[in-house]
Amino acid sequence: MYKKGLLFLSIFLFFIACMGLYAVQEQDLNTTSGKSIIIKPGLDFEYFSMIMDLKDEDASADMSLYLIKANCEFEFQNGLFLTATLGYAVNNFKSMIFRDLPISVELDVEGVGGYLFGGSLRKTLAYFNDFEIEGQGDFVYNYGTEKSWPVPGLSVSGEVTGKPTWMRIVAGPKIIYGGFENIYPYAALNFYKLWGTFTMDQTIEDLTGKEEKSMSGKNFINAVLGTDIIASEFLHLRGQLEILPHSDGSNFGFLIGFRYLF
Amino acid sequence: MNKHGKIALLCIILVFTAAAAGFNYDNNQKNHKGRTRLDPGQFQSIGFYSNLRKSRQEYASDRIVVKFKPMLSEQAAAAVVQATDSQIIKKISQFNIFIIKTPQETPVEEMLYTFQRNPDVEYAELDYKTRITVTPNDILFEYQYSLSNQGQAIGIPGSPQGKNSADIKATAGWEETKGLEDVIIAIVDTGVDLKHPDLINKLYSDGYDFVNDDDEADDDHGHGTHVAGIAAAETDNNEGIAGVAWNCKILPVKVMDAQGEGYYSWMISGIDYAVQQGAEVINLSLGGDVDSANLKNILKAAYENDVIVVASAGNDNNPVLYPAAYDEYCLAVAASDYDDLRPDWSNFGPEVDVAAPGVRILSCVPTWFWGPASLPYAFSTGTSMAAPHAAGLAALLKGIKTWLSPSDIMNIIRYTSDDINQGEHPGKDDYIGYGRINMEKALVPIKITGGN
Repeated sequence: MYKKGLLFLSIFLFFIACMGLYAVQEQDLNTTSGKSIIIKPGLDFEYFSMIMDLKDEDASADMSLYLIKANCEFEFQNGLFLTATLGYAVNNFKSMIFRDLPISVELDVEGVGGYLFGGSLRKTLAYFNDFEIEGQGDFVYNYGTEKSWPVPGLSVSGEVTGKPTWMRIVAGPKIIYGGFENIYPYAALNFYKLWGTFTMDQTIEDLTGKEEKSMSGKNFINAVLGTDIIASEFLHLRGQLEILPHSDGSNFGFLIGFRYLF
Repeated sequence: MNKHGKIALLCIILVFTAAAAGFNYDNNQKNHKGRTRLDPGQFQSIGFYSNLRKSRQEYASDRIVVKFKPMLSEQAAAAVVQATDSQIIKKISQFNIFIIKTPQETPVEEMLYTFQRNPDVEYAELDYKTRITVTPNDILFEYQYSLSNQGQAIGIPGSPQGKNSADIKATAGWEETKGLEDVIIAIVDTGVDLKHPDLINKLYSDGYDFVNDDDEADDDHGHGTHVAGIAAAETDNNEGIAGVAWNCKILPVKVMDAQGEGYYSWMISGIDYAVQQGAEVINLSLGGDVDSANLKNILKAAYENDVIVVASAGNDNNPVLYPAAYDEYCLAVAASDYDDLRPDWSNFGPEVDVAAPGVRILSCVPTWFWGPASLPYAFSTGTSMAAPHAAGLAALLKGIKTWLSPSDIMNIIRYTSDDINQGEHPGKDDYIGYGRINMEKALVPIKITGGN
C-alpha cells in the first residue's frame, strides 16, 4: 500500500511537472507579448465523511476527515492551472472492527493525524457564451501518523497502535458561469475514489498481533456546487459543497479556502 | 438588479445557506451522540456529518424521540409537534423527553431532520430497535448462574442466591460466536454418557476407553458426563442445560474408572489419543500429586501440536495438582463461586492462570444416575467444574481465531479475565491467577474510544 501510494504520487507529480514545463515553455513564448504566470498561494479547509467498505469483510466503517491544505497554484495564460499541495489531516473513525488481532477491538476514535501530499491540475477546455468548461484532476495522499490507545478492561495493561494511509483521486468536468462580475459560481461532477489501509498493531504483554485492513470509499462520484469570489485584486475566496452519493445514502463534504495573488 | 445580478445573488445564497445548514446539522448530530455542544463558530463545526445516509441499525419508521429544551413549556412543545402534523405518544416528564408519532406520508428521517433543526429541540433521535442478548431456551438455563448470573436462586428453594454478574458473561460472548462444529473438545475423564439426551448429538465419536481398553468411552462414574455438559452440552434445544461451546463437538476419552480413579499411563494414553483424533482443546478435570516427566512430555507434545490443554487446579486448598502445574503447556483453572469469591478449598500456587465458576454447577449426569423417573442433571462442585468453562471458551476462541497458537489463546483467556479479588490481591495472584474468565471480553471486540 505504502509503495503503491508513493508510485501514484510519483507518477502524479511527474505528470504535473511535465505539464508545468510545457506550460512554462508556452508561457515563455507568450511572455514576449507581455503576459506572465500568476502565482496564488492559499489555504483550504476541507471536511468530508464517508462510509468505507472493508475488503473481504461484510462490514463497513465510518470515516470523517478534516483537512488543512496549503496550496500553491500557478495560473498560466493558456488556461492551465497547476497546484501543489501540502497539508495535515485529522482522521476520525467509527465502527472500525479488528477481529484478526488476538483480542478483537472496535475503534471509535478521533484525531488520528496524517500528512498530506498532493497536487491538482485544471485546464480550460471550451467556452459557450458566459460558460466555461474545465477539465480538472486532483490527487491527495495521506501518510498517516501512528496513534496508540490503551485497551480497556484487561487484567494487564496493553495497547493498540493504529496508522491510516489513504489516497484520493478526483477527476471530472467543471462548468463555471462567468457572467457576473467577480463571482464565478461553478458545478462539477467527478469520478471520486478514496482507498487505503488501516494498520493496527496490538501489544498486550507477550501477546502481539497485527492487522492490516484494506478499505475503500463506498462512493464513486461526487457532485460539487461552489463559488469563487474575487474579493480584491489580491484575494480570491472559495466556498464549496459536495455530495457523495452511494448505495446506502449520501455523505457530504465542505470546503472553504482562499488564494492570495502575487 | 439585472438578470445576471439576480442569478449571482441566488448562487451565493444557495451556497451559504447550505453551508449554514451544514453547521446546524453537524451540531445536532454531535449533540445526539452525547458530545459537548459546540458553538457554531468553532472549528469542528465546519462541514457536514454523514448520517443522512440510511443507518445500518433498524428503527421505527413512524416514531422519533425528542428532547425539548428545559425552558420550553409543555404547551409550547405540543404546539411544535402539532405544527409538523405529528402526535405526542408519550412524555417522560422527568427528562422532558417526548415520544412522537410522525405523519405516515413523511419519511421518518425527514421528520427527524425537521426536529433537529428546530431551535427549541435539544436533540432528536430515531427510535432504534433493541434486542435481548443471546439466551438459550434450555429449560434449566436459569439455574446456570455460571453462564448468566442475575442474582437468581441457585437450585431448589432455600439454595443461596448468586451475586448479579458473578458469571463468565456467556450470553454476551455468544453474540460473537457459538462455536464451530469442527472444533473438538476432548473430555479426558471418566467417560461420557453416550446416550445422554443433551450430549448424544454433540459426540464426535464414541471415543476410547483406556480403563477397559475398548472403543466405547461410556461413563460408569458420572464425573466426565458432568464436565462434558458444562463445556459443550447441546444448547438451545429446549432441553436440559446450555453448554459454553454450543456447536463444538465432544470427544469422550475414558481414563478413570467407576471409582473416579486412574493411572498416569491411562491419562498419558488418553491425551495422546485426543491429539491423534484431532482435538483442538483437551479438558483434564483430574490430577495427581506427583510430577511426571512422561506426563509433562505428552503435554508438551500436545502443545506443540497446537492443542490447548486446560486442567483443574484441585480441591484440597493445597498446591496445584499435576498436570495443571505444568504452567508452560497448560491453562490451570481454580474455582470461583456464585458471589465471585474464591472457595477456600480451591488449590493455589503461582501456576494458577484463571478461575471459573466451580460451586454448585448444574450439568448433565448419566441417564442411569438418578434412574428413569428423574431428569439426568445434577449440581456439582469443584475445580473439575471450573475447568470446562475455560475449555469451552478456548474452543470458541479457536473457532474464530484459527491462526492463534495455544499460548496466544491461553493468554487471551488470562488477560481478559476479571480480577475479582483485586481488593485483596491486586493483579495476578496465586488464588485466582489473572481473574475469573470473561467470555465477553475474550470474544466480543472491545470498544476503544478516544479523542485528540
